[in-house]
Amino acid sequence: MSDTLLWYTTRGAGAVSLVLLTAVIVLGILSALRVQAAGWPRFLTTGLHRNLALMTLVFLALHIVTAVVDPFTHLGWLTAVVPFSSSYRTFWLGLGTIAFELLLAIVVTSLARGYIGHAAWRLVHWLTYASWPIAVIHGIGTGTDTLSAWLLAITVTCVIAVVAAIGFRVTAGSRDPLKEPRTNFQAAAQRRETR
Amino acid sequence: MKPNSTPLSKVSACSQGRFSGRVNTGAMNGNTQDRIRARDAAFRLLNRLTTGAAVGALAGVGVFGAVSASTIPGITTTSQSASTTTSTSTGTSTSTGLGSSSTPVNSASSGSGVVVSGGT
Repeated sequence: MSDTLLWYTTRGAGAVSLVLLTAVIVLGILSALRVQAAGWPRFLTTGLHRNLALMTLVFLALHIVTAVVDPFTHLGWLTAVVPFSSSYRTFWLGLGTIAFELLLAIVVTSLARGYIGHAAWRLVHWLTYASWPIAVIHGIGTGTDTLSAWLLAITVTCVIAVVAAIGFRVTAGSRDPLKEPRTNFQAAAQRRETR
Repeated sequence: MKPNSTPLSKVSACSQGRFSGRVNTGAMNGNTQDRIRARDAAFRLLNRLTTGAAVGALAGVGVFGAVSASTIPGITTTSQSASTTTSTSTGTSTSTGLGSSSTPVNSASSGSGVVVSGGT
């Protein structure tokens, strides 16, 4: 495989990974908000969120492998594991390594959710809000195509999508259907204890 | 004894006759069937969306790779001869015809280059 083909694949897989990761974030937020409609049950959002997250890992692996084996940059496999160990664009590549490892931790803890418990899973899952912006900054900083119109359009679209989803989540609040009964139960239990 | 001529379809399936009038088992079964059908349809939609996303992502790698290659190919397209001569007697050097590219170079362009060291 020629060097340039590896390089093009790295850039293409990077862009696709950004789009997929953005979709995963948005679906995760919609899942937390318990969004559903006729013909679109809640488990569909959750299932798609999970499937796309696993798919993102695959394309991230493609992005990383093609970057590492590209002889032009001489990255080495250590760069994919240890942040800021690369001599080539040290800082920006280091951010990419951190984002990948955070995402890996999130996916692994999600798969092992039954073993680690809901609280630990939720705690790790909050790292998503760190992983995504780090990945975006990595793309902006190290990306060859950062100033190209097509990647700029993709990045801006992804940022708008995630910001809108977060804004929707913040303004919509909790849609936990058991919130009110739970609150009432806790209040009743407290009243009973005080008697 | 007169044989019972009532067809089986007319016989209630409910063993407790006193409840058979109140519980609409037909509607309940229909509702359950609707829910099962809706769930199956949602699963089929999930599979289709996942497959579509996978195919789209694969195509995206190709398309984005091609677009990135067309915008920033990363290879020099010019091929010029380069020569550098140095005169040891006079201590002067001249360089002519050096090709250069502003794009990131991923593979070297072809061309003959001669470098001679020396001089004062």
